[in-house]
Amino acid sequence: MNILSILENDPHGIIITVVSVSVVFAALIILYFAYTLTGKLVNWKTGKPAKKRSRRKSADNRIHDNESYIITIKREYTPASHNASSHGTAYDKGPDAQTGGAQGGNITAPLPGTMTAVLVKPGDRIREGQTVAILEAMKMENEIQAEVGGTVKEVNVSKGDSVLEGTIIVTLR
Amino acid sequence: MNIIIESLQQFMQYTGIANITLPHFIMICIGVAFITVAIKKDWEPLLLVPIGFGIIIGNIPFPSGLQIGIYEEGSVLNILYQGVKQGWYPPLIFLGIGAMTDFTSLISQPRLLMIGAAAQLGIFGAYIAAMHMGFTPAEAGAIGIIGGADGPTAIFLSSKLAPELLGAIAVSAYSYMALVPVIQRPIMLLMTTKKERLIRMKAPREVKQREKIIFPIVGFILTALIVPSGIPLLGMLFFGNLLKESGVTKRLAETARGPLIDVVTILIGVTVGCSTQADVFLTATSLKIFLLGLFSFIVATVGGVGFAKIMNLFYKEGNKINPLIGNAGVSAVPDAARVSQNVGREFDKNNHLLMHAMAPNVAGVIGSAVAAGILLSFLG
Repeated sequence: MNILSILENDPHGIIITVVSVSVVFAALIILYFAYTLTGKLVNWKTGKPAKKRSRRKSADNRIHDNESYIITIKREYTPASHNASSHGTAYDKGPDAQTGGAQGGNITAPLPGTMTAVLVKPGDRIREGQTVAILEAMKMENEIQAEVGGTVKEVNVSKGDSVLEGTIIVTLR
Repeated sequence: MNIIIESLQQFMQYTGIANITLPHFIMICIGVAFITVAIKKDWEPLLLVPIGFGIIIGNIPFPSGLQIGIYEEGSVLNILYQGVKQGWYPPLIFLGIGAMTDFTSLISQPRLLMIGAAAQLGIFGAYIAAMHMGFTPAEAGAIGIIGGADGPTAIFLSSKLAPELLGAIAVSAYSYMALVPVIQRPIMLLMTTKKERLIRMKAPREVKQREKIIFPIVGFILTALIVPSGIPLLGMLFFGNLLKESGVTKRLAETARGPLIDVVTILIGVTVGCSTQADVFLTATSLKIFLLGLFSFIVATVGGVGFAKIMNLFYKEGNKINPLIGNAGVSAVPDAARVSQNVGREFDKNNHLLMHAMAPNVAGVIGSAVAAGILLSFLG
């Protein structure tokens, strides 16, 4: 391939652009397949079914105390909780970490990070949308808000704790 | 007595005061402005303070021939500048970036790699635009790489393709990286509907240590085989990441992402700043480069967000991508991901997009290094 001749025939840079964009995409598509494959292999080798659902559950069990999840909590309907459950279908009982809020009585960490402040204590009444804690992730402070109101039963973290995604921050009564 | 006055007069001619010109003065003001926004607005202070002060250093006029200036061979600044000019600072920065970057969210959602590829459209959009504005293909490639939103990559490529434009390209890349929130937010809002902005993405799956170790090895071998000219950047990036994830090289990883990257950042910032000497920097060409740089950031953001929307056509409800993470396909880590998070939370206080946005964000680093490699092999 003579690159100089390409340049001469390509006064607007279109050919190089098309070629380069396809190479970038090709490279990353190959990476995509490679990583999907290694992901499957690694998780298959360890003897766990490759199904996402069970893998996720085992992850939750490892991270948290089991009881918190085994208990089925009757959930009141709020638009927010409805929203959360409709998107978290793949993980049935696992916390939909994206909600970052109440999961049937718990407020969980939406991101992995460090707690910089806990703003409530047991016995406090909190209302929907109230900020209960501040979590630092990626050098950014994120307010964690309650998606439902209630009374704080237990605060499970303290300032300075490192939390994983889905860690329960506050249990509501 | 006369002798003293004469020698004083002679000395006066050597001072900066006697030689200062309007362009120098303008550049010093720009340097002060960089430092001011870095301190007041907290925009990329680790880059803008060194660059800002470097601009001031580089624009005090001095008599030539005394081995002072950055462009005078053998001067102190010139020796430090070699790392920029020969392009060996950027791979060292990439080593540190690799050692500090957590690729977990990308490993758990490899499909988001595609967004990182789409955001590289900015590079080629600016490349075509620069060709139309009369730059040579090599210069256009160097200018286009600003759209990768990656300072080290931009310096690496422009040092190879168009060394004379390096100062303007580097300053423009770093300034727009600091301006990422300002540039990207309106585009993201313009391109998404209210409903799309509220999409909640599935929590990423857990990633095993073994996967994290395999990631850099497989990633490097594959990308380097496709684009060998990207080896200096890709090699160091993935090597740094292996140091971080191997679990047995903690000390090396800590040095790479701590002291080493700090040292190189200081050197790269100050010398890039210095290289903006008014006589080589204040030209119409630099102005064009700044315009093209802005254009490339806009195209990159449009590419990333647009591609996320296209991908959504193929995913079922519940598996969709929030297009607000599309902007993070540019590789300004983690600034672009923070923009996704902030814009996302404007519409849903409890929708945290940060970790999702980190996936296209780190994919963007790989993507822009690949793109730089391609441009280098075509135009170098």
